[in-house]
Amino acid sequence: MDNQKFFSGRRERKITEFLFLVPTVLAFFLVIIIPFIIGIYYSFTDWDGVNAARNVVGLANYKAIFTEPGFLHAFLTTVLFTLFNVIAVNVVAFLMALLVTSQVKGRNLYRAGFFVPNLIGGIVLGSIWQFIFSSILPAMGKALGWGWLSTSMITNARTVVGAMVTVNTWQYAGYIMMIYVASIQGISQQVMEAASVDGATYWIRVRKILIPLMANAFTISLFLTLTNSFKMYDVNLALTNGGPVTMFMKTPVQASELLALNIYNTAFKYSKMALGQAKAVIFFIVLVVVSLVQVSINKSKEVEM
Amino acid sequence: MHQNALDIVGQDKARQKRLSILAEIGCILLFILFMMPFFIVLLNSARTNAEIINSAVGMPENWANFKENVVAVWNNPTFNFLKALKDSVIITILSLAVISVCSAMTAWVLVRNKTKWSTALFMMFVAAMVIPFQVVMFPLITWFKNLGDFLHIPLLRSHGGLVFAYLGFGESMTIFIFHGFVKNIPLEIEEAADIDGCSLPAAAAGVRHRAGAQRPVDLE
Repeated sequence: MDNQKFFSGRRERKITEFLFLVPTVLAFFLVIIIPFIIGIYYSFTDWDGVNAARNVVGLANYKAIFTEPGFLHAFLTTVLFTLFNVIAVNVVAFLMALLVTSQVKGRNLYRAGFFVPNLIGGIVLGSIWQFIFSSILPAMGKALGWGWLSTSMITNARTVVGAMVTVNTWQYAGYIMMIYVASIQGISQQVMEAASVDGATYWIRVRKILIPLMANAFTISLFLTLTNSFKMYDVNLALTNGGPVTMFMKTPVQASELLALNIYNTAFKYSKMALGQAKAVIFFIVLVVVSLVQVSINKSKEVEM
Repeated sequence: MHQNALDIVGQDKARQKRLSILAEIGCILLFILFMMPFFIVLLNSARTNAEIINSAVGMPENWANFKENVVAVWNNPTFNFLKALKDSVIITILSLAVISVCSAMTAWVLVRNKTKWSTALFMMFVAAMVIPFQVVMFPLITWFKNLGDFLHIPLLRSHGGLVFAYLGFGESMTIFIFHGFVKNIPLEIEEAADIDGCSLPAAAAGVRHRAGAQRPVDLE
C-alpha cells in the first residue's frame, strides 16, 4: 500500500501531520531560534540589560573579549576541564559497564546504584561535595597524617579543576554507563564466545571485538560528555562558584570559573549584557566546531557488522 | 592436539574465575564509593550544628535530631519547602507529559513523511542540541516578557511559561530519541491499524518515558 494513502485519505493525513508538528516547532522557534537571533543582535550593541537604551557598537564587544584575562582564563580552564572530564567519565563509565554486564552477582543493584547520582540536580550535588571537600577530606587527611589531603582541594587553584572532574565523574559516569551497557547487550554473545574458543583472552576480546563494535556508543557518549563538560554550570556554581583567586596575565582571575559561569557573571553580576552575549556567541561557535570535529572523527571509526 | 585444546579451556576457566572475583571486588568498592556521599548526607542530617563543626565525620549522637531537623526545614517560613516541592512536582509532571507527547508526535511525522522538509527539520532539531543555554538565556527573558505582554499571557514567573520553555529546550533530545524508536516500528503495524479502523496514528504505541528526569530549575 502506498505510504500516503492509508489513514482516511491524503488530505486528512496532511492535516494530522501538520497538527502533530505545530507544538514542537512553535516552541522551538519561540524558545530557541528567536532568542538566539535576538542574542546575536545584542552582541553587537552596548546594552547593559537594565536600561532600555542601546547603541550598535559593531565588533567592539568581540574585540574586548579577546583581551580580557578573565575570559581567556575561563576558556583555557574549560578546555582543560573538558579534556580531563571526557577521559575520566568515559573510562570510568566503560569499566563500570564491563563490570555490570559480567556475571557478577547483584549486577542490577550495582547498575541502579551507579546511576543514582544522576538523578540529583547539580546544585544539590555541588553542595554535598563542597562539604566533603572542605570538611571531610581534610579531617581524614589530618587523622591519617597525609599532608596533601589535609588542605581543601577546592581552595587550591592547582587542584580545583581535579575536584570538579571528580564530582562530575561521580554524577555523570552512571548515565554514560547506561549507554555502554545497552550497546554491549546489543552485541551477540556468539561472537565473543567464538573468539574465546579461538583462545582470545578477555582483554583481547574487549579490545579487538567489543570496542570496535561499540563505536556507535562511543560517538554518542563522547558527544554528550564533550558538550556537557563544555556547558558545565551548576556544579561549578555550587561547588566553587569560581573558586580561589589566581594570577593570570598579571591580573587576578577566578581559578575555577568555567565559561558558562563567566558568561553568567559578566551579564548579571557586572551588568554587561551585551558583552556576556558576545561571549556566549563565541562559546556557541567553539562548541559547534569542537562537536562537529568529534562526531566526524568518531563516525569514520564506526564499523558495520 | 586434543589434550592441548582442553588445557587452554582449563586455563581459561581459571582465569575467568580470577576475573570474576576481581569484578566482584571492583563492583563492591565502586558501589561504596558511589553511595558514600549519600551516606554522609544521611548521617549529617541527624546531627546538630555543633557536632558537625566539632568533627566532620562521625555517627550522630542522637537519632532523634533527625526528626527535629526535618521538622525544622519543613516548617521554616523562609525556605517554604512544601511550596517549592509542590511547584517542582507540578512542573516536572507537566513538562514531562508535554515534552514526551509532543516530541513523540513530531518524531512520528519526521520518520513517516519522507520529504526534504522533514529531513531539514530533523537536522535543525539535532543541531539545536549544541546551542548552549547561556546563548539564549538573556534574550529569552526580555523576549518572553515582551511576548507575554503582547499576548496577555504571563510567560515569566508562571508554570505555563516555564513548561513551554522546557518544551523548547527538552524537545530536541527527545525527538532525537523517539526518532530512533519510531524507525524500528514496522510500517505494517500502522497499516493494519488503519484497516482495522483505528483513527489516530499508532505512533502513541511508541511513547515511552524519556530516559532522564526533567530537572526543575527556575528560569525566573
